[in-house]
Amino acid sequence: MNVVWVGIFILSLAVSAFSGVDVVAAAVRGSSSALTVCLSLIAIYAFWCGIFEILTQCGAIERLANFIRPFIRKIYGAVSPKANDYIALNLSANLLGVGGAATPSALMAIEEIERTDNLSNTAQNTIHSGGNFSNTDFPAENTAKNTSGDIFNSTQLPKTSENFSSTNLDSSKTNSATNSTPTNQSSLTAKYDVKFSFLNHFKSFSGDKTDSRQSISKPLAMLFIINATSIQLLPTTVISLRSQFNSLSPADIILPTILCTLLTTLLGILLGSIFFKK
Amino acid sequence: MNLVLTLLLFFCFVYACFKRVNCYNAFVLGAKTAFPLAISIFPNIAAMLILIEVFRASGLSQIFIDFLSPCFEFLGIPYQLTELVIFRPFTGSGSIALLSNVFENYGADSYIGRCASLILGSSETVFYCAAVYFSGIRKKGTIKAVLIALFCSFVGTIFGCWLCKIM
Repeated sequence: MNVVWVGIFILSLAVSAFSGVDVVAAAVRGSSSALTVCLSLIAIYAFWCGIFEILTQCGAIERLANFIRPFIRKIYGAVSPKANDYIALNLSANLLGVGGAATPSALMAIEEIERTDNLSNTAQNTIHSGGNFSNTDFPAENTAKNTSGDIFNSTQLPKTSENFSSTNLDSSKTNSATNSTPTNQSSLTAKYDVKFSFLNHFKSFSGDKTDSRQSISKPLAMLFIINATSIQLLPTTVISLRSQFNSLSPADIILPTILCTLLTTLLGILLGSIFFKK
Repeated sequence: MNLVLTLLLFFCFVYACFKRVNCYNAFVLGAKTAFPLAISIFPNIAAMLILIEVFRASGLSQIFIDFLSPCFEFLGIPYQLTELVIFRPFTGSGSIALLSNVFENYGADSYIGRCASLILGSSETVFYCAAVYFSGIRKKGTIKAVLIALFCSFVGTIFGCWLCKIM
């Protein structure tokens, strides 16, 4: 992205040096329209995120996700159940052509995929380095959320608290919790996790901690490609615009559009699975 | 489509009530996340829209259009649509404005109008998507994904224009 952005920017600046255009005014215009877009996005996301939470709590998303799990596994590769839920949500939002719902669900899925990726990397690192992990690298708070499952185990079974999760956690905290009220603590964690799982998704991405030379994973790449090649069934915006401009048959582009979008998405999936192996 | 969405939402609420979920609380809890979410992608959207404004204002876009039109014509994309094809990956609202221009100038049912409809209907804002989706990711390989998506959209565009010719 950086290459594209800087490249076009430098070229534009070079050209406008000749033509004498007010670049700053144009830039500010762009940024203020970004603000307008963001404000309207807040409104749209507020509605859809609210609906998502209802769907999550009543278990509808899980049902849908379980239904299309084999399909997701085949195309996106292995993902965690939670990421699977969000991908299912994203796919259905895309098919229905609800862009406002597709983006938040995609961001949640990305967050989840990144988290499990980083977690598996951490686990590998821990094994390789013999469990010598400094607490400064992984703030206890973050790890607590990430490895909720592991904490669960370690607090319920004090004997295993010396393994993986305790090395990552602030160990004194874990031990005191384990010694005093293990069951209480674990149920509290569980409660906290369920209640605020949704909120935690939008705390900043943990990108800073990752190795910059590492490649993005296949599920992430596939999620992006499928979203960026458009898989909506009905091009509603275009149809309504056509009827506004007195088209005799606004809907006769539906079939070619579906064919076209099928081609792009299938090609994207094909190329994606060739170029992203893992 | 409106009916489908309405029905889906209806069943969502009914199912939630059936499952004894506190809909109001759940909705508020979810809606709360919308604000940080939209704010967190603001810098990325701003970067993208600033770029597109500068690109257009500087006159570089016109140079691009003049340069690419013959190539696009060769591939079967009408030269009147070069601008739309170039701007489509960057901005959704901008390309909708361009589409209405095309409809106004050539008519919605003309060959060019139908091509434009197809291009817009079957593609997405690739760069915009990349900016938002990869906003927190500092790993390599994103450019590969963007190139794949761009390539696919472009193939789709050519295929769409060809479809318009035969259908």
